[in-house]
Amino acid sequence: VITRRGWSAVAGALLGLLLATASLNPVVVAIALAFFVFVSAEIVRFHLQYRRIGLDSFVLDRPHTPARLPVGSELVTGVTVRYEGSTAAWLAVSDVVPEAFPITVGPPRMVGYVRPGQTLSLRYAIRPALRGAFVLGPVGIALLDPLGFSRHTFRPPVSRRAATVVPAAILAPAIRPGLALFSRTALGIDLRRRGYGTEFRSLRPYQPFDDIRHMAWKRSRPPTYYVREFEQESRQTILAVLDISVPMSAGLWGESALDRSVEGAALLAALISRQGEDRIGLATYAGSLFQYIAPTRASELALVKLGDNLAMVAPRPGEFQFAKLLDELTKRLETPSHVFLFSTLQGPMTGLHLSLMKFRRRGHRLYTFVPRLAGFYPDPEPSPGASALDWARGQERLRSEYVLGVARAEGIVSLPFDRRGANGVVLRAYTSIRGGMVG
Amino acid sequence: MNRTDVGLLAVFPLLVYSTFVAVGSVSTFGADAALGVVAAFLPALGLVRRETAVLAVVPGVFLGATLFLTSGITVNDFPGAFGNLLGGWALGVPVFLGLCAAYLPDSPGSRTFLLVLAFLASAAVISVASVGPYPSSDAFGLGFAQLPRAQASALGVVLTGGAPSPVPMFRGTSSVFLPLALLAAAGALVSLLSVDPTKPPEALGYERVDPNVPEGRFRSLFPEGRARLAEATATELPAGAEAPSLTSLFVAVLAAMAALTLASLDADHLMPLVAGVVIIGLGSTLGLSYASRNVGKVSPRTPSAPLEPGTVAAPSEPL
Repeated sequence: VITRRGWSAVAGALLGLLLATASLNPVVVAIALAFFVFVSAEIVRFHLQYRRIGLDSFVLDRPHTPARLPVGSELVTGVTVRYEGSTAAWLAVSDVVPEAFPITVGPPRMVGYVRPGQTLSLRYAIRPALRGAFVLGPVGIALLDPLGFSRHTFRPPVSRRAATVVPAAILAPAIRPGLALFSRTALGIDLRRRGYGTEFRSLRPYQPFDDIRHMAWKRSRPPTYYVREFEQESRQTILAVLDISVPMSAGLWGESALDRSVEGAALLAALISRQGEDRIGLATYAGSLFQYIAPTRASELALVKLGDNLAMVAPRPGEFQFAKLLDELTKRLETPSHVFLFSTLQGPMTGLHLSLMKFRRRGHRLYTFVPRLAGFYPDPEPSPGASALDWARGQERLRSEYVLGVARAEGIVSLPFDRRGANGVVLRAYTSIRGGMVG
Repeated sequence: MNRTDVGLLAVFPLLVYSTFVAVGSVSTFGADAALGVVAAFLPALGLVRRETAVLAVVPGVFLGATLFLTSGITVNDFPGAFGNLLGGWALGVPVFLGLCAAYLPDSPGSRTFLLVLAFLASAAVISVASVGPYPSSDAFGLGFAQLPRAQASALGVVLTGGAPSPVPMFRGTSSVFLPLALLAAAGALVSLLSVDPTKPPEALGYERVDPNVPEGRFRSLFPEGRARLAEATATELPAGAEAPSLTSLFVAVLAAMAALTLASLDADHLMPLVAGVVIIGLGSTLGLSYASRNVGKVSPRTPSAPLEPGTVAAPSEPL
């Protein structure tokens, strides 16, 4: 391929030659002819010299790239190209980096001179900044003419590499968080007693299916045996519900109400998975239940599944309908569950009281985490638009206070959060459920 | 100073010589004419201070446009200071064009065109000077502006099978002109053979380079990560043509020598030679460009032994 620079050289030389020819001066004509011949001969020579170069003249290798990357981390990646052409060449290697991966050390391009059998290693660092599934690559390899008149470009599709950017909490062991984020089991202080509660309720007669370890030996006198019964089951079922209607997209790129909610849900999933006792599920809702992952026993595999789903959560058209959501959950949840709902509660509240009564009658508990949307945008510089934003914030505060008032009047635990994130309130709610076992 | 600068320096003896000859043909050289010459030499300032480059070229472009618009088609003499100013610029026009070519090291097309134009201007001012002497630079300017018209007439005679005498652009060439012109041509070719290694790869027609994000703002989750940056090959940019490009240079010089020889033996065959070279050069360039765009697809080979394990797709890898 002849580059733009090459075409301009051909055009300039040709125009000069035409003008020189018009002068009828043989010296000037000869000089102009030399220019034109040089430019065209250089282009022809390059194409003939590298006519046998193809995709099979390059062997590509990418260094290990983890399939899952946490948001805000840094990854050093790149590509190594071994050149197997017959003559030495100037090679330019470039990698296509998604916009969601700002480059911290770069650039993802390089130029170098290689002989047959030699390699070029491109390395750069990126910071995944946005949840989702992305593809690194394909790598572009260009064989350059040193004068810039021509180049051959190759873009092998196999050089692409898929990567899923998950919330940071999903890969918490890699982050090495403070001790407070580990369960006591993980720390080696094993307080777990599988199937046991935390608060004693009463004794009841032994049944054949009871675990013999629950037996109250001191109170039992043959043939009557008692077992201890506890007020609260140790194994809790928790469902994280994300409202993915449009109002949740309020906020800056990567810091929206939904992003912060996903981070909170991911923290919850990570805590429960590593705590090892409880069951965790996930649901997303926009007008109807869009996604439902039934609560399952927490494990690494379940965490991977939740992490991948949380990575892909995005706003969808649809209205948040509180009563309809509770009805749906009442139908789906088989055991008494704690429902962690992340929502702006922006939608109709009709029928809420009745739905909530049914919901509670099945033994479920509801905790709402409400983003204060008025604070999800930074203060602008003094400008004519600032007063409009102030007005919008005022309206949003009024709406937020109203829905929180309605929720609290119904006895729903409501925990507002701002653009700094929901992690604090999620941690507080979960530790209160677990009676201080976590954190 | 790189090879581009050295090559361009070799061009200027011819340009300065032709200006010197032109100034010598003017008997009265006043302050207004001197100002015109200064306007032609002014772009030299822009080479030192690049931010003033456009400003330094503007007076010369204005004077040149005025000269050819007013006196190029019909004979419109400007007597007095303004006419002398225009004529002064015409005296220095070869240097003016050479300096403009020096402004464009990254654009071989524009540079080639301007250099050929500078050669033409040299031949033109020497030709106009040979008709002198002129009482003032005003008269020289008028003669210079009329030269393309006279040349067009001569060309018309040639194309209709006649033999004009004399050919306007071929007057006054002395024995000094040819060696200086060959030196200038060699210098111009050398300047084309080099590129500036301090320029980013897009100077070679490659892609745009993104600016870096400052380091140290983000934590690394992979302790070995930063160490991997040391594996990278250092970027190295070409400073000039490769050795095989000497073939192209040799072919170019051969074509020029053939043209000169033919011109001295049988000038009538110079035009067919030029036309033949243009057809062959342009045809092969376009043909190769078309062929290189239509390469069959071949899958690249994967390495026999991957350097590191774990390069698998996202869904199958555990945490």
